[in-house]
Amino acid sequence: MIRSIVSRTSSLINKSSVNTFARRTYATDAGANEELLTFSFMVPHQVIFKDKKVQMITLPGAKSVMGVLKHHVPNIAELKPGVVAIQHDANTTENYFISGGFAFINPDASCYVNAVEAVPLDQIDPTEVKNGLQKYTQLYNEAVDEKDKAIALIGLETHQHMAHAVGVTFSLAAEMS
Amino acid sequence: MAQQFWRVAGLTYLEYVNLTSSHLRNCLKDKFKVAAKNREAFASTYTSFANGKEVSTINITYSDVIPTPKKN
Repeated sequence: MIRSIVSRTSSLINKSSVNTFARRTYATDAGANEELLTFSFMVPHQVIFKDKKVQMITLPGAKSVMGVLKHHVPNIAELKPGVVAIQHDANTTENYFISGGFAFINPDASCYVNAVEAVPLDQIDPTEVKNGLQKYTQLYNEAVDEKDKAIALIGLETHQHMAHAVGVTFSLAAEMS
Repeated sequence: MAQQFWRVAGLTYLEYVNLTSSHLRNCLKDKFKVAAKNREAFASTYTSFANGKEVSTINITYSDVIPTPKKN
């Protein structure tokens, strides 16, 4: 898992952030000193979180999996199908599977994640995922021209990410026997 | 950095993300699937008129729009 947690080095440019760096404490100091990220997570039909204070979120970026803490470098990241892991505090983590979207990490230490579909992991049916994996592996192997291969690969990748999220294993050797 | 594989193959981002969302919706458990499938459905009718008379009608639903691999 590749994490990109980068401290803001622009403190020379933005004087107000110098004071916040001075207040950094050990991880064991909980409570008011906690530096929490303001996080909004929305899909077109539902607001899942709005301005929620969380410790860290892990996003399935298209180029790499990224962990976002409060002072992450501002960024706009494309997300691919995968799990958004929201760590509310030291003990509570919530996972959602998203089908794709964008994450906006803003200079004011807030983060918006917009997805097309987001479901808690227990809403995914492992049997359907397994069937989908078989179907799209076959379609991918059969596809000849570039567009068909891309469509099959999209299906295959999405099902692979879902399988990884819910814990479905698909072994080609087992299927062939 | 090179483009994403779907862009290279000629698909747009919206086609890509609607495909992945469709796959996710298909893999939901039954009671969540119904609500999700309702979100996905759409229907459009395009009718062109000339001289007050209907010339042609096109009906489009979600299954017409979503790219699918050609069946051999």
